[in-house]
Amino acid sequence: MKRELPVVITSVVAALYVVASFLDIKAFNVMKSHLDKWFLIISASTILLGVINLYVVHASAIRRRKPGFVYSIILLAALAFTLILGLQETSQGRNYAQLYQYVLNPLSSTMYAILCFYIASAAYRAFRMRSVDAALLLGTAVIVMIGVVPLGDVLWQGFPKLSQWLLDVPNTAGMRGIMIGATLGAIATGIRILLGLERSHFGRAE
Amino acid sequence: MQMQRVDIWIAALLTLAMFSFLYKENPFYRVAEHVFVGVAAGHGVIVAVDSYLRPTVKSVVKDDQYIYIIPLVIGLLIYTRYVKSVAWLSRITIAFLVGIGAGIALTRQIKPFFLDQIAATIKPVWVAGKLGVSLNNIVLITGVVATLIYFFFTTSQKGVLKVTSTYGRWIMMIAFGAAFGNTVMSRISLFLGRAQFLMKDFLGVLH
Repeated sequence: MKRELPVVITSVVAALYVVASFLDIKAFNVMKSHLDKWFLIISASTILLGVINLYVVHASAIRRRKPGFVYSIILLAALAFTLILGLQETSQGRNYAQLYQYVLNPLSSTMYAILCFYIASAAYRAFRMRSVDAALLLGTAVIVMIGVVPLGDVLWQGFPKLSQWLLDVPNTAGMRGIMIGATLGAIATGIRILLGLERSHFGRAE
Repeated sequence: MQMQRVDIWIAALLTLAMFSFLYKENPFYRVAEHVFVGVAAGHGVIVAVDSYLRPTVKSVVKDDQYIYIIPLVIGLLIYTRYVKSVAWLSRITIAFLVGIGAGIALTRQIKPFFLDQIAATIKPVWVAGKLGVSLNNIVLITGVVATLIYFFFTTSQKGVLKVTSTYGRWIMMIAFGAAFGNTVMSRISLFLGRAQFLMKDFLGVLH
């Protein structure tokens, strides 16, 4: 029961969705539209799970006075402040918009900006031209980067065109092949879920 | 005006604290990092509440759309995982999400990510008077086929299959290189944005 019921629900829901997509009958269209909305509502309802886990980890660090527990206090205070402000005046509120513009936006932009230094240094270590594969990867990356800045045009007028060709032709071919392969994988997994063969997402058996 | 100045100071100090990590890990960075995680997690909840949960509750209460009580209850079942005796009920939430996800994968993804991609790859290998276009089409078609062959594991890759899969791997390396180059450039543009904020809005040395 504890294991079979969720498997049956998964298969039935997947089958209903697939059948509804192939039948242009009002009742099925309404059901499919409801399932689409349900998917978003159920996903949104689970969002607190991450916050609860974050709270459990950091509250435990504070209780046990682990090294650096002060940072856990700061994290939980920032979390509580954002939640209270957001629930009180919604994300459209003036103060919340300021929190987004002057705290979250600068922090996330800077966090991703400093990553460019680390991915560049990691790339130097990883992609040193030790093989044809690494040379192709590094060469393409350099040409694409130089091609989109004015310096590339100054160095050689062909850089922007070469960069665009790499993006339009071999890049499209590679990404398209990967996309087709990944979709085939998703279809195969979907069929396994529909038939109740795929159960790994339910975790270990009790 | 005074308030906006305070806001800019907060944004600038947080930006500088984040950048201080480039020197080495330090308490300023760790404060900024933890503030970021806390605010970002809270923001995720607020966006979910405002975009989906508030409108759903509103449609139940004001428009008598009682059917939306069902997904709310199914969603809330995920929290039963914290009560050991009824923890298995949280699998019902996962069952619905995975079931609908599988349905979407089997119906809506097939056209844009599979059929349309194949249709876009069927191009003429010879276009009269346009050698460049012909060569591009040849590279595109052979590249897609070779990339797919790289992931073909039904038989061992020997002979022609090995040569084709090697070509497919090279095409993928070019695609990964392009993706890497674009990622670095987008990060650099973010870096320039932050530098511009510090120089213009905070220090006022740029106009």
